[in-house]
Amino acid sequence: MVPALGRILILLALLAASAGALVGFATGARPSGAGWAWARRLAYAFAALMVLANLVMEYALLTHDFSVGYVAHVGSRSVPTWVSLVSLWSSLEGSILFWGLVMGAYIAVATWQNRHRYPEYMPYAVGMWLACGAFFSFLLAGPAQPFATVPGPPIDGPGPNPLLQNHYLMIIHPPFLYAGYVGMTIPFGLACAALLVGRLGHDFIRPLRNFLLLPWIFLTVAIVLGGWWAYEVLGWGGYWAWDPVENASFLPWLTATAALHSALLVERKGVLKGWTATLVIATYLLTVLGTFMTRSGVFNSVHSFTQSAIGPTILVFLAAALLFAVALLTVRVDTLAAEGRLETGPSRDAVFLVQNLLFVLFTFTVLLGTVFPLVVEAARGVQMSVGRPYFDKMSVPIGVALLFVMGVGPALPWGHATKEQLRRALLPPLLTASMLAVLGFALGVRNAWTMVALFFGGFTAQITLSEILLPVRQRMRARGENVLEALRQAQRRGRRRFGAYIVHAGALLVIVAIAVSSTMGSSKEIQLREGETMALGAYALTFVNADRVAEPHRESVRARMDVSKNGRSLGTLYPRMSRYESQREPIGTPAVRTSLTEDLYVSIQNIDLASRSVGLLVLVNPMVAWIWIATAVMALGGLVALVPAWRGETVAVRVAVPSASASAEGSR
Amino acid sequence: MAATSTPGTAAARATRFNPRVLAAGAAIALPLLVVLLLNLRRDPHTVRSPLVGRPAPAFSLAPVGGGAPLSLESLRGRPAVINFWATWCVPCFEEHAALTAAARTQRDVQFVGIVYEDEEARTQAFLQKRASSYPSLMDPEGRTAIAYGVFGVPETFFLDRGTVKRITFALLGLFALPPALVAQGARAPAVPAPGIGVPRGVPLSGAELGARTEEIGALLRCPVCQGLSVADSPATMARNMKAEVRQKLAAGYDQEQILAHFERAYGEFVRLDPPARGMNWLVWLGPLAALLAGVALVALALKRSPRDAAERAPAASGPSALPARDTLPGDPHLAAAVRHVRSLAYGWPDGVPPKTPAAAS
Repeated sequence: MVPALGRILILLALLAASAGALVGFATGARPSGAGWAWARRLAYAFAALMVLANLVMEYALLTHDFSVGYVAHVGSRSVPTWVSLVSLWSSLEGSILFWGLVMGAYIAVATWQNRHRYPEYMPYAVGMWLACGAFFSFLLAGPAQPFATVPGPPIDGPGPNPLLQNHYLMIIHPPFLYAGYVGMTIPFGLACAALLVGRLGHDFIRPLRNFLLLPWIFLTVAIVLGGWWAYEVLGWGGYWAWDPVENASFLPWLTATAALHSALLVERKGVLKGWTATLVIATYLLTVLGTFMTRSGVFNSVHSFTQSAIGPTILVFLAAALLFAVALLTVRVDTLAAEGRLETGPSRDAVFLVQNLLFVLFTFTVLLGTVFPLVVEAARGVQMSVGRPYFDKMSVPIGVALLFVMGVGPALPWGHATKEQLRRALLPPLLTASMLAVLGFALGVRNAWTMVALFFGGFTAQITLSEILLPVRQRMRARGENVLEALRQAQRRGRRRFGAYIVHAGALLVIVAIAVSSTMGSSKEIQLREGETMALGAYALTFVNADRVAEPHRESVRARMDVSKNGRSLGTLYPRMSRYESQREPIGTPAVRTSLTEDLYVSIQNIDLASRSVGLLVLVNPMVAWIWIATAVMALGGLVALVPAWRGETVAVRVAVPSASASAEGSR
Repeated sequence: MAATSTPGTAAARATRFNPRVLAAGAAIALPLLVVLLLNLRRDPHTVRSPLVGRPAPAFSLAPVGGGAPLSLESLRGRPAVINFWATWCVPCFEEHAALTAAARTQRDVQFVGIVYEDEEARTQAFLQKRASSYPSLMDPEGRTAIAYGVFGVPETFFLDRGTVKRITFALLGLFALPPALVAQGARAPAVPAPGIGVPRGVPLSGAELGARTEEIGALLRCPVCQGLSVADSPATMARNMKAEVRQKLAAGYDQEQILAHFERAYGEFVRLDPPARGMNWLVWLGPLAALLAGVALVALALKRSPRDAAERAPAASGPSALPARDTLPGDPHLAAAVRHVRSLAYGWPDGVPPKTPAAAS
């Protein structure tokens, strides 16, 4: 019953989406009130059907209904309830079902919010969204069917991948990732609508920007959550391995950030409209490429789902989307004519272009490195790898350049900048920059790139801080408000600007923290017997004993480590090595002691209860906590910039009907 | 590009063909799609041994349960089949029966098993339970497995009968070849494989040895993991490889020699940093080329034209399409609103711009 119900819901969703797409495009080409109403209804219907299908699947998972194909695949009676709940997105077909849910929710919200606005654009936008929705419904109805009926349902299932049961981060990482990834469909539809209508006005850039910013916030958090998960769970002591699937999530983030900035230029000066539309479309195409990379089995990765018919199907969709995008841009991009002109001399405009260049270069480099092994395979028939050393080498200069540009941009004025203005804007922050560099040197920094990162970090920090406080200072001076009142008023009235600079502050912290943590850490590998102590830096770790911990789904061997720093006891750490039934190699869970300045990271390499010895990898990683904190700051800044946009402020302007004499005076 | 966009639908819907966008789009989209399509058939879990056609790496290993070591040298004069296996590997069970039968019937072919990452006691118990017609050898620290570029078990290598025993065929996975093929001579032409030669560097020790091991380990890919480097991975194979790196560094080999040693066994796949040769130059120079192209595009976008210099009057900034500050629209309601806004924004009384001295009449 349940599988049939699920399949029916998916088929209805496919119908609703396909019909809605057709109605949307038809209404866009020939506007009509009835057409728009129907397009909206079909959009809501698609969303509702997706929500229902997901609820049915969750019901099946929680009641362990093994007659449903997906539940037989990943369900298990011996896992905790929360694991059953999150199994919805833990594996291939379920994750596509979840994708449909997020997409439906986004489409419903975006349609409802703009139901009375932008009548020429919205039908096209809804048409595009539902066309994408139709594809995913088709995937769910055909190649990736989660609701297949299992003829002889087993009594119990294997449970989801044990790696995913290891840490609670599995609960939040995928939803955030999907909220970011899938959300990029909305600005894609809006950009295509603008191209189809042939205009990207000042009014329409606002919803485009807002619906770009919202998924961007989720995606930022999701990417870093993935890094945090790798750090806390995988045990090799790092947080980013440039794995193909990690890159798949990073690529659209890069183009989305570039698009957010060039959208600002569209809004302010009416330039770069075609370029912004291109970036938004590229962001969506990169999400489709990313989902292909994750699911096709073509790439060798930690995340690789097994090979299936899904890969070729997504590739066909990617090809169709790419060709559609290129065709649309070729014939329509010139209709998005610029209304203004870019400032050609040294000014913020130029820095915006440089920033866009750096982001697009970064995107190109990461994409090239990720796809290059496939190119070589196709051309020479030889397998080769492009791994972390390559990506680290390429991304460091670009990251540092971005750090610098993030400072120079806000420092320069919008219009033409005179030499005097340039000097006043750019020289004082060099003081903080030098101070920070000297401080770094004093604390032991010797790596050249880290020094440069600290220097630019100080430079950008001073500029960002001064930009945040600029309206506060102006209000205090002009209106005599005190600091708190000025701050409150400034952030209330200039939320977008305020939020944007908070994001910059977070971003510069992330870059500096990454620079410091990757070059200033120390590590040691050592075999310890019970009772022995090892030292790393100021820390001393004693291996007290090891014991077994048996849980329903795994058996772990746990080492008890007493930690002290400079003689003072800091407590106990319990790194673990767990053996799951379905895996050959045991999986280690490191123990991490986090503080604001540094992390003490202990990971088991090998452990032997019989000989009472343990092989440990101990790392001291400075400033890692700052990466997580700074990401939260970025997300917060994004929210601050986003929130007021949802609630428009109406200002009442009273206009007196002019008398005859007044109009004669006025028309001079 | 400075024309004002007219709201008329006719002008807005005019379709103009932009050949540069088409060229750029096609240049990005088509190669990408072709590459993805070509790779779709490939199973990323298969690997091809680079040792085919090359002399088999030498070994001298003790059999399971003890005894005199068996060396590759002693297999001279007969074709040989070397099968890497383990007791924890399910396909190996199935294969074992086929291999045992083949060894009995193919008397002129020497079958040898090499145990991969397993305990001697367990292997001995396994072999006692299931009769075996050929010897199995223990491979402590996995050195021989690494030398043969073993990715996982079962992996089988076929050697010819010559003095220099060359590997003619490598098979990863279940032994499924008909026995006749096993006895065939060499098919691939001989490719001379130079050894890595004498150590070119200085023998290391102490802290420097540890640091360099980590550095070189970070450049090697763990063959049985998903993308982790040998330095980072806790897998047994990775730890064995790391130990071999350490041993070679202590003996004085330099980085390139050590990387070449592993590349001989596993192929280019094992190097995480693509070596700069042949086609790989594309991945190293590609970003640089993109940077230069991007700088050129940005410079083009920011190019000064003679018009800009003339128009840069200090007072007049902003798009030329907007009406000047001292005019009013025709509509009286709109004009009143504009005047009201001007009075708020500029402080002009009643929204009327003050007369400038030059314009005083």
